[in-house]
Amino acid sequence: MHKVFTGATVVCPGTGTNKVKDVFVKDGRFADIDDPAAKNAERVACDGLILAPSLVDLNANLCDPGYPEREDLASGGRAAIAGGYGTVLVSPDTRPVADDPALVRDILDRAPDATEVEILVAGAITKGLHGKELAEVGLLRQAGAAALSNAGAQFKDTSALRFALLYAAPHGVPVLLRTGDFWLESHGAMHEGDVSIAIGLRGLPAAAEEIGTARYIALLRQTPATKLHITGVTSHRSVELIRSAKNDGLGLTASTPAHNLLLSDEAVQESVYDPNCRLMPPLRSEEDRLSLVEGIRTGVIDAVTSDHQPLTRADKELEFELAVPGAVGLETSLNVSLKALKGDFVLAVDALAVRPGRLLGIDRRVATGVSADFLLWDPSTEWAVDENTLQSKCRNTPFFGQTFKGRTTAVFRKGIELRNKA
Amino acid sequence: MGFVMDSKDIQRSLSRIAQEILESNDGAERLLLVGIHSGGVPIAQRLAKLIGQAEGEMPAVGEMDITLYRDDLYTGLEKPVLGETKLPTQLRGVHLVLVDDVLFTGRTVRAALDEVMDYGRPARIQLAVLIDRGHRELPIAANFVGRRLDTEMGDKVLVNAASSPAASDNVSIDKAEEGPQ
Amino acid sequence: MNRKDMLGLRGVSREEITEILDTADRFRAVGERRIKKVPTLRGRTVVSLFFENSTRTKVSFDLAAKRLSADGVGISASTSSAKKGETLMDTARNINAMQPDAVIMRHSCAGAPHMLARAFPFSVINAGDGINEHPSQGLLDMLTMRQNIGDLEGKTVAIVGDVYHSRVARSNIYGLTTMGARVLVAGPGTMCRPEMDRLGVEVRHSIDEVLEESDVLMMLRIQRERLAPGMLASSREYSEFYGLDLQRLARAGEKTLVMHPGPINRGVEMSPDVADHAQSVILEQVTNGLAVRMALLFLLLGGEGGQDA
Repeated sequence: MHKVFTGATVVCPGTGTNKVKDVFVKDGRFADIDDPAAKNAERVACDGLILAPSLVDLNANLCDPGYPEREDLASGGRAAIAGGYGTVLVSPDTRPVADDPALVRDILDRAPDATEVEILVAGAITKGLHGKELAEVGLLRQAGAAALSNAGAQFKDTSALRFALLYAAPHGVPVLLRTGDFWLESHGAMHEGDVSIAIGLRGLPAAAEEIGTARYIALLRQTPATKLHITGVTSHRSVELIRSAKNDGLGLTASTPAHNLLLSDEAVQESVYDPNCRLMPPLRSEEDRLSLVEGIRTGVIDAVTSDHQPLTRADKELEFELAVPGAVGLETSLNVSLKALKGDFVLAVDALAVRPGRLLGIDRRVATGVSADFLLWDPSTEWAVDENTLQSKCRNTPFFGQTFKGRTTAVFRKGIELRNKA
Repeated sequence: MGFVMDSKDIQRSLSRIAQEILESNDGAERLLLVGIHSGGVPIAQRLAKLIGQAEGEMPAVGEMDITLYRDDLYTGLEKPVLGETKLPTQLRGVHLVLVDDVLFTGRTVRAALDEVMDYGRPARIQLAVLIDRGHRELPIAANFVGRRLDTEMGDKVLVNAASSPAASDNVSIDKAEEGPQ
Repeated sequence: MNRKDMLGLRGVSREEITEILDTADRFRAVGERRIKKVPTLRGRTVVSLFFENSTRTKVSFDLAAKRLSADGVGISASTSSAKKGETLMDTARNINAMQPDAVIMRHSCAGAPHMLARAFPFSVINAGDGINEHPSQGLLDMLTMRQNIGDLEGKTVAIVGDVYHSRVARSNIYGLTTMGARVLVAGPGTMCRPEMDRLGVEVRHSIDEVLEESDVLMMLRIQRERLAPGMLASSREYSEFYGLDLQRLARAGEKTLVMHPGPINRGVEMSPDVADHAQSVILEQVTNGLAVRMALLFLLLGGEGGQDA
């Protein structure tokens, strides 16, 4: 099927493109507009729209199998398409935990029937995500795991962490670990700072993250071949450590959740203890937030994740410190990132599509020969985040009720528009 | 909208009321004059002085804020400011005379009676008012009345009386708007 | 005062605090009469919902409601049973179905009363939410101070103990700073962190550093059950550096008030002879507590349009 998409502003950080041009898609790949086949191709008018690589999420929990009331591959897929995502790496924090090759295979087998979005699986690097015993990393990879992850759980035992990094290295897949410290994080409900002191909530000190990041970096120096990716960077201290490590030539990568780019701990105070603002990692100070934005700009932080974590009313309609932390994010991440990056679409696409894609060996460019995986974005349309617009099964977002400007109108994979399945 | 009573009228009425109180109670011995906040307070003080002049000795004086006993609490506009109630601890055997400037629906007096009962059990309670403007909503009557006035429901009766006689004392009526709005 | 709820003293203006304290003074007079009851809130329903154990505060609120002739009902639930069974919101929905006028709530989670206040039409009075606030305590403490040392503007109040984890401290800090008092805090490093100065207080490191300057010494209870392991080694370590004994009281001066929210750990926060000393106004605090709670109920609930007197 050949199509020419006309009149869109093509934004492609990989080729440095940011201008109106026609795009020819031939047999599922981008092709030269001068290709003779383009002449007879169906034309799709995209005037006023932006055409950019579709997004790649490194961290989304689709809760499938195990938590059907929260989300499943189908509803998660709908949320992904709504948010402009063409590829989602799902977290192993399922029930049972995806620490067994059969489970990885199960998800990969069921995904195509549930959604047209490309679903990749991160296998659990430790059994049960307990951070102690190694999982069968090789078998997970063989079953199709595109990466390894310990989800949000922390390794209490540094020695076990070291073994995990050592073991994973030769397998060559990215290892996604959230930064933090188990002991310092066991009592807090929000960032420890001026706000937590003022409103009487026990805090999660930034030192926990700094310790976690420093620990990973120190161990990485001993096992430099591991493709370590630090998720959940939210503190300026982590950013500094990562910058310094990268300057030393360490091949580590890092990501930050979209929410943390736009919101600070003041959101907890302003919303008067709204449990939708209870996140892990937490929303930190304004100074931290600005350092994350700067980190994305300079590339110290490679990617932005959605950290999509659907939670039902039963999980969230509780006292703040008892509410389960997390927010849905697939549908709002691009809007949120754009707002935080002051409308810089090129940078947003770089951080949400190109750089995360690179980590997984996925080429997200609008260039001849590359798989036609892209989104169409209408910058002028306004939409409210509410009951009617959200595709996820859950509504737990700090942005509920807010209006965003700009919205994904379509996502294409291999040149074909993704439709929601049943 | 002239004055209904001027300072001389007021003083004459209060003198007469003072005498009536003394007559009704066989003197000032067991008397306790209690001014109802806020208009009744200066009136009670005036009456006390008049009685003092007549008998040579001032009777006991108290004051009472009835906010906590009202049946309507807020009228929606003003904020309730709780005033202080000053009553002696022992009311047994006392001849208590409640004093107010204007008697209207009777609800203030009803509240005052309930409040007195929560303080103790006087031998008798009487009511003295400078103005009775009619329109009672409860079966309450004053024992001692300065002047009866014919008023409309929407009128406002304004009593301007200090705790000592002053040339500026007066009573006036602010008539309700006339005609259709 | 024009609010639906009393959730904390943060953000409450000087005028409002003054109004509450003045109103409380009037209600103290009711407590001194033969019949300690007024009909003001007759027929109103006040539900007290205590998820944490408390005798004194609960009794104080219940009595306050009764003295205003309101109908009081108490519900005691432990947070853990709520976790296993009914959620807070479901409990609140059930209570709301009975149309209470006010709910007085104590809970171990900060923000819990705010959750109810936002969702339901009844007035919510926070009787303590986690380590956040306990506004009626802050108010009764200020009333007690005002009665003994006059206008709070320019006075120095020292709060000693586990300030970081104390809702009593927080409410007092917010109220006192609003009223123009100078607040000093002192306690062990784990309980009195330097960042507390963001609240507008001066952080000191032992009780000896606050004695001479203070017009009021407010001693907080060391709640061993609240402390994570590793925050405090022993009671005697605490009393050595933070406890108030007669010697220290003498150095503070005979005009300095000694206060404590109760219940006292005799021998820990203060020696028994300090607790019973003439300068201790601890029992006045309790009397004032009743008056303040009556004032709060009156100001929040008293009111419906009506006819002329």
